[in-house]
Amino acid sequence: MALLSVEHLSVSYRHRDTLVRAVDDVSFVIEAGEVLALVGESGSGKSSVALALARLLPPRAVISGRAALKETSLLDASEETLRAIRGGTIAYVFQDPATSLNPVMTIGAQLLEAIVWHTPAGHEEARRLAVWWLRQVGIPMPELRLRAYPHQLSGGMQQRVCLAMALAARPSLLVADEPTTALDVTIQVQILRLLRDLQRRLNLSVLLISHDLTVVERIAHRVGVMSGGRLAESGAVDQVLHRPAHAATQALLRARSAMSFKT
Amino acid sequence: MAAYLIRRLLSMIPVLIGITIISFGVMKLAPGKPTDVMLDFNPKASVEARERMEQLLGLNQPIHIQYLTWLRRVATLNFDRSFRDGRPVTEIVVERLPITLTINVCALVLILGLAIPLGVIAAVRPGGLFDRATTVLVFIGYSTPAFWLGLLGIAWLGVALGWVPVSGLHSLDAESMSLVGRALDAAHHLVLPVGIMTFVGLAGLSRYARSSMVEVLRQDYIRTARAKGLPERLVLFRHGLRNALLPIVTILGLSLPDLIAGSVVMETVFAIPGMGRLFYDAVMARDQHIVMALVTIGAVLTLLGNLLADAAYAAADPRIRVGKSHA
Amino acid sequence: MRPTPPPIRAFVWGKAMRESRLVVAGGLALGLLAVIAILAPWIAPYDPLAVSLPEALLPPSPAHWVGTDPLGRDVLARLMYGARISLVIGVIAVGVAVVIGTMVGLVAGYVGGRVDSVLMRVVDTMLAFPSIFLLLAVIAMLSPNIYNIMVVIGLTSWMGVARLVRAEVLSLKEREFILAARAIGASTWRIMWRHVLPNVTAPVLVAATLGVGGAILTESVLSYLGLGVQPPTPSWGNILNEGRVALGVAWWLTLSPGVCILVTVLAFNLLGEGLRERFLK
Repeated sequence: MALLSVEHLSVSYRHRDTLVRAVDDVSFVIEAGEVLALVGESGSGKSSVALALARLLPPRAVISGRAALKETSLLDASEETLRAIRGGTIAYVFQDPATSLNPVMTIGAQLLEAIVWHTPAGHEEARRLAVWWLRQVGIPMPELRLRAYPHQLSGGMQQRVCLAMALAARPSLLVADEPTTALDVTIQVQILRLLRDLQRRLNLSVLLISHDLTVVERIAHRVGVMSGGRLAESGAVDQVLHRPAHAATQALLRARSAMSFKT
Repeated sequence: MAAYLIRRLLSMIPVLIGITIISFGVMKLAPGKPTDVMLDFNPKASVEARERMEQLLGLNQPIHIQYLTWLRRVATLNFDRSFRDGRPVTEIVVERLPITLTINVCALVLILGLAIPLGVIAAVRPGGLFDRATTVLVFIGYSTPAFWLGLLGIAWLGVALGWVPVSGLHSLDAESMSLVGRALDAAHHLVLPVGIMTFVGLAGLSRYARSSMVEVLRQDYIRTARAKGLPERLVLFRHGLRNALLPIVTILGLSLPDLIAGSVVMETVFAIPGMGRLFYDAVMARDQHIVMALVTIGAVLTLLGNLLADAAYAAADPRIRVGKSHA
Repeated sequence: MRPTPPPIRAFVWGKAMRESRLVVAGGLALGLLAVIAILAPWIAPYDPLAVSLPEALLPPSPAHWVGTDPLGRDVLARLMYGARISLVIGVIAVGVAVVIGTMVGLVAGYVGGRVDSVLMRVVDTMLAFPSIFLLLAVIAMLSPNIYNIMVVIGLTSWMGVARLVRAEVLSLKEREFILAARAIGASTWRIMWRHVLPNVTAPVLVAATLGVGGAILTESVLSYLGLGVQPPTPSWGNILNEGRVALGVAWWLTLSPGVCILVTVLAFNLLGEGLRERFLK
């Protein structure tokens, strides 16, 4: 049985008095240890899919369809179940680490929060875990960093902290929403490599949201192409990227070759 | 942080000089000379006496010399003497200042204690019932003349119902009371003025708290906190409120002049012998040295308030408190 | 399915409609007030200055809808004439503030450099004074009359407009159409007049509308303190002042002018807030 199964997921946003559909009847599964990438242009609805899973969308969003993580149904879960799921079984890493970390709290406090709420660890134990996770994501001198504030770290380091924070409660699914987009190109490569290593080492399931096919090619097993709120095409990465069947995929591929031509 | 505060302090120097120039300039607007006021009531004052007086006060010197002389005295907190009773201005001000400070501190504490919760609750559900109800209240608070509320309070709660004393700071028999009794008596006298200052001040600050909180709640780190599975209470208070309070600290410093202005009106309406009432009486009596002193002190207090707010902000915001270099 | 509980963004159903209601309500109230103020000489039931001691302190009655004051003058007539004073002072004082503020803001923002920092220090300095201190001191020195009041209120309240205009100019300055105008050699003043000024109109209009409410409040405080409009000319503030002697006896003398001030200031605030929502968001 699949780890995550999403069936007929639709998301609409109330705008004035009308509903604007952002995600239209999307279905997919993610197996344990698998990386699925959702690609598409901005506005294609891929981020809405990611946020809908743990119901992190704003209240004006209307969600329908079904989504289940193992046996737990997500879209109609109670507030309490949802809190256990968020950060516990489904963890998120977002696009911009500079704004995703609370500026007035230390790295340590933010990390400990994630651990304490989802594991039975006491304070000392949680602290040790926090240090351990910071080391896992490649942050030097982790004991010192616990006392640092986000603004004292570089963008790449901040994103590593976000990764550690997401993984600290050993979630079964990591949702990475454009995790490298806001970073410098050289840092992007490092973070991507880190993500791939961690995924393999921990046998993580990942839902990767991206508009960058190069990123997708590096770490995803399967890919779904989204266009206008619908899942236009999906399949193994090799197959979809080398023998694109849908116009949206071809357009993304063309855009990429144009980009690489320029640089 | 020290560097930040020193920079702020330096940027206040031109403003401080500007304050003294304007305070001095206002006094020179008056047609005639202070000697007119002093000697008008004395029909026997001869022309020579008048000239001697002017010489004594330095009024026959060029304006910039007069300014510098005044400035040199002010720098040592010497604001000369009151025209009316001849006492040193500083002495009179020191006598009145604590009363005004007490009233303002009470009002400020109440305003903060009420405005922040009001703003935060409204911000949690913008457009909700509570938000709309407080919005109405805020608009009314903004539009109500405080002195009118004072008059209504005196007429209704004071005269008609007799619940609160209507003027002054002490009852007639205060002399015979114990220390605690006198304090309670004063507090009883202050209920109405402080209550009204609170209501009027609440409007602006609660609105500000609301928009600050609304702004913070749309930040990415709030989504991160929710994605971590934190209960909503922690998301709002630990992650939201702490950030939302930062700009409120600054606005507190900026709203100080409004509070001082409020004291003038409230102390006049309620006949409370504080700095505000002193100012009003001095203006009516054209007691220039007192007016000049209070205008200057009021502005300098505002500057100090701003500096304090900046310091509090710097202490509360790690982005300023701990520089980037460390770690 | 349950709605997602944590509200992340404000979503207000039919927000646009509610805001236009604000504008309409504020506008209607002000329109009515303006009509009363303009027509006061024709619709006022009595001469606002006609003293009639036998009729002093009469409570509201069919003959005197809002009663009479300690000198037996009709309060309704005085309130109507008071509306003229309040509106005129409010509008002209804000006019003075807008002219000064716009000039200072334009010059500071557009010229920049040392001129900007000097002007902004002046703004900081003016903001440091509790405005009532300056107002009372200056007006007492100059002697209180309507013209002094309007000018002095204006002179102590232009700083907000200056900051607003400056900020607007700074952001406009970098925009392409201004750069283009400069590239084709338009003079500084021409660019300001033709391009910058029209763009700052909306925010200034909003600030001005809110400012009129503030100026009316200020005038009422001054008049109440005896340093505003001088008797026998009626103004809402000095009617309150004169009512003080009969406080607790003649409630209509205290209640009615305050309600007039409250409603008027509220109307300006609603209108200003409505305009802000409509033009600036």
